[in-house]
Amino acid sequence: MTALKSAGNVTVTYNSNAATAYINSVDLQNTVAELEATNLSSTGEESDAGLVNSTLNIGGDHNSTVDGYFGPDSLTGTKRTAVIVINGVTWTWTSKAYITNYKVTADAKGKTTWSAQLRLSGLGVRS
Amino acid sequence: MTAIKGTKSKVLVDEFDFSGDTASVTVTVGMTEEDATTLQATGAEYEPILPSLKIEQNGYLVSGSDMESELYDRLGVAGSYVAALFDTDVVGCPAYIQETFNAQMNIQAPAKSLMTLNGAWGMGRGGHRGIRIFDGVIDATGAQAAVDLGSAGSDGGIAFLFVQAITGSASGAAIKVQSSATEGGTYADEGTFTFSALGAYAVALTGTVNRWLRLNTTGLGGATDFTVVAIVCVNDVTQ
Repeated sequence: MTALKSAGNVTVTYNSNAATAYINSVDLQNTVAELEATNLSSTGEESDAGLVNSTLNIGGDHNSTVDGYFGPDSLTGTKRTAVIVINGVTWTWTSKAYITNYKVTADAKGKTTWSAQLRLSGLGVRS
Repeated sequence: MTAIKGTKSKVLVDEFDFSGDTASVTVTVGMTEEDATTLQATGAEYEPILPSLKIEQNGYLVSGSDMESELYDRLGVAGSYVAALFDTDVVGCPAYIQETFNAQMNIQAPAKSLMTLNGAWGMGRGGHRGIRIFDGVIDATGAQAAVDLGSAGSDGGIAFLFVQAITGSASGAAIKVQSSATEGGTYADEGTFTFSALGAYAVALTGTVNRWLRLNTTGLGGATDFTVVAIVCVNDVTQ
């Protein structure tokens, strides 16, 4: 079994904009809330599954084009469609993705970079 | 895609360009949110609430520079316009602007290194995102080259003018922001900046703002020339 490299195996589309070429890292988090279920007869801590909570952290090298994809929505909270394809598996949040944190940093000795955290509201469709 | 060097950025504070004193600038746009999960939901759901914009700049104490004194004058004092521009080789480069106050001013002086001046601007009265449509010297009345916004807006916006230098004196100098559906078409007035001194100015835009934007100077106010940077923010297009 061979571990897969990221480059070439991950794509990100936001509001129909193909953002992949402007992204150098993707962190898709699907976290299930744990509902405390420990009771007086428990012999160990117990929990039940709550709802899944999803966020997407992305970032890369900045330019006017990628700023045009994410910058305007960062100030409005507009919900868009986000599609993340990882190794052929597609995760889709239709009109449920909005930006909760968008950051651009320019360092005189380096390059200008950007990062964004997207809230993916509700349960995504995995296909 | 070629990475853009960090040096292709600018920091403007009212009439000052502090790019030469600044080693790094960071713009952070945040959005508060609230849980909106309802019964029968299959996943946790949220709603965005309010945005915030913060600009942070880190730099040096530079001989002959006004930055230290100007940042101190604005410490806790509202009413400054601060802009961070990125990818500045592009004609219509993106810019983030806020009307705010200086919220943090840290000076460090290590014995074996340079003195640094690091600061942050408060969230102030909201932030804007626009594109730069002009950056240079105006020495005659008339229109400047137009910049393509990409698409028109229908819900107004706001424009900013940073007047950085005036040769001679200006009394009631006037510069219009105009827009047109096509580059060579008829341009309509969207707003007018009127000024007699250095500083930053804002003018509200209403209704339709077409995709081609330009400055048109109608009066120099007696000045020989002035150096300005103009940024236009159009609702539902740039912000």
